[in-house]
Amino acid sequence: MINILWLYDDLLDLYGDSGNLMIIKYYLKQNGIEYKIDKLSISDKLDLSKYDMIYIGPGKIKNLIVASQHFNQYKQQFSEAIEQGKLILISGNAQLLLSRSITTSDNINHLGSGLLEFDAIDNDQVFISDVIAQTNTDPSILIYGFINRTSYILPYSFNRPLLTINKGLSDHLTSYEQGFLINNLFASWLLGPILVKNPQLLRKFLCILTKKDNLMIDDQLSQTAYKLTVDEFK
Amino acid sequence: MRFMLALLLAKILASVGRLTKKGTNLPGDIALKIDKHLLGKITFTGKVIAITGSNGKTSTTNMLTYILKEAGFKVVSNQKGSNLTGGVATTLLSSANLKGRVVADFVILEVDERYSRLIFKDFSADYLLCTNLFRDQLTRNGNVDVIINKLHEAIKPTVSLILNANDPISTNLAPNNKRVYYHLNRSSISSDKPTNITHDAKVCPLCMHRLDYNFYHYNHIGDYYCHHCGYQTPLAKYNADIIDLDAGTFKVNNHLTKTNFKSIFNIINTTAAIATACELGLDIDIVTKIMTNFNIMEQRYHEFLINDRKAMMILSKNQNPVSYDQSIDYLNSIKEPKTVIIVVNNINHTYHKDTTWLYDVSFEKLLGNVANIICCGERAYDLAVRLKLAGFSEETMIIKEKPQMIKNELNDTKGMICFLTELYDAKTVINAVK
Repeated sequence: MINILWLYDDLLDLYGDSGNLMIIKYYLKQNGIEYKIDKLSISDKLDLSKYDMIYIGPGKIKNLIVASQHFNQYKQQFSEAIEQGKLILISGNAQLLLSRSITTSDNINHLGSGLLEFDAIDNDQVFISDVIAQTNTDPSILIYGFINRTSYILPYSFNRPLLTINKGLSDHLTSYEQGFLINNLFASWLLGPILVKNPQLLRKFLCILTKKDNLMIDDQLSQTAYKLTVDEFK
Repeated sequence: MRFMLALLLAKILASVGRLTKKGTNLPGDIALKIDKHLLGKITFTGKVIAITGSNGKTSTTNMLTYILKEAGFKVVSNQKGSNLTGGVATTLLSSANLKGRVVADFVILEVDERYSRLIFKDFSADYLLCTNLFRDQLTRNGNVDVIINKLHEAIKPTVSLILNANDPISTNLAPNNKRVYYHLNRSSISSDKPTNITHDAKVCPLCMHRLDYNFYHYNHIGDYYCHHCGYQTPLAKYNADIIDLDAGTFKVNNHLTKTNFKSIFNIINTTAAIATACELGLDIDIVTKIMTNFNIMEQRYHEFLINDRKAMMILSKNQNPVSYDQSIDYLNSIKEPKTVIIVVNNINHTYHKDTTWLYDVSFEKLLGNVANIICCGERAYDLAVRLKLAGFSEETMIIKEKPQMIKNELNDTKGMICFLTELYDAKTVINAVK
């Protein structure tokens, strides 16, 4: 039985967030693997040791601040989960849960978990960008993703970035590295159905999640969709 | 002086625009370039009512305008949906006399929620009706909170609000302003569980704990309560009860009325129009009787023939999943066999390749209701992947990126041809299959 936690599914549900778990469920079912998805939020006590995968999607900044107050209480558990190599996908502004601080447009500085040593600013300004990037798990894999954010990360020395950007923008005009890759923690500004749009990344996820590399994955449609998207950037 | 020049020029341009049937925004846009504060210089003899919200603004504006005109009042409104700053300026300047005064009992302005703070920068509405707030065009709008902040800038403390009690988000707008609510009670098709993927009010807007629902009408529109802080559906002054959905009959505060567009969504909007008319001083008995004769012009649904085969255009709004869900519900209400052509291109105007919004639309509801499904447009394969995850087998789907390639495929499909597409793409795809 695979146990998946969709954390803050109610608070952090900007758009398209169900896509990632939808496709994971699809292939687990195709391969006859039993699974269970729990949805927990700020009223719940967390025991991360029960889960094989944790997913946190992006949300409105006001909601993210509320989620962060709950998240901070479980900093130690998250730190251990990352160290133990638990599969964790954090998309969009949810990655700010890992920050030291988030300053909102009303100039209030909100204390983050400090799991990583970066700080963020939210200025209520909508920024969108298509992104083509190499993943640092396997530089041969090109990722397509979409950024829609009102926050940005202050200049930061990325020790373990998830992505090296080829096309599109990250936090600043001159930053080409983005996101965080620590063991099996994947976090970046990319939001929405990242695993649907990037079939090779999905295969990697499924392999880590199930600990099997011989799953039946009929992803020809996804591969075509991916190729057509990426080709438009050439 | 600048105002007078702007006024005269807008009047001339609007007259030319009426002849050429173009230019609802242009006269106002040009006038605003001459005098950027002109909206604050226009005076009114009557009340100004603004109608905003994510969905249903145009039809609700048309309904309220109809009620007031039928009741014998002189009404000025921007009924054609020209709801941006330029469109509102055009409406007001072309209706004003040479002193810049709009002589009418009521001015009804459909207002784009994103532009509301700009439109009401220099003047204020007396009443503001907000139909609902949903996630909508997030590549443009960011998120619902960004829109709420803009609305809060637009709503002056003196504005009386008319709000949808079934919507936990818009109910909470400008909490210190005077307000009344309208509400649709539980109907035979209400659900105890969410019926769509998109649900923008899973948490209480006050305390952020999970919000519970007594029932759902559609998406997050329903009847709700928060166990943690007590936030709940407010007591409404105007309560609607459906009598017979198939006949389109319903009562508002026990006064029978009727609509020819028989959807829950439209019944709630009709209740909004009735509630607003009553707040403006009309008698509910008269208002509900007038509404019985109103024929909604649903421009989103257009029936025609393609080579002697019945076809229907169902205009849908990409990136507006609640509106898209309603198009799917409408499609499912067509009981005959049908082939659906869905067009998904890159994001309009910005050309981003994002298809995130597809995962907020409940395509699952189409399962078992369509004979064939054709995926078309630049993102046709992304759509096919979404439909596959919704449960459609690859064999039931035809995937053609270019509309010109659909025509031959149609010979092998069954039933009425239904186009599910945005307005921008409609003409291209219809011409391609003719």
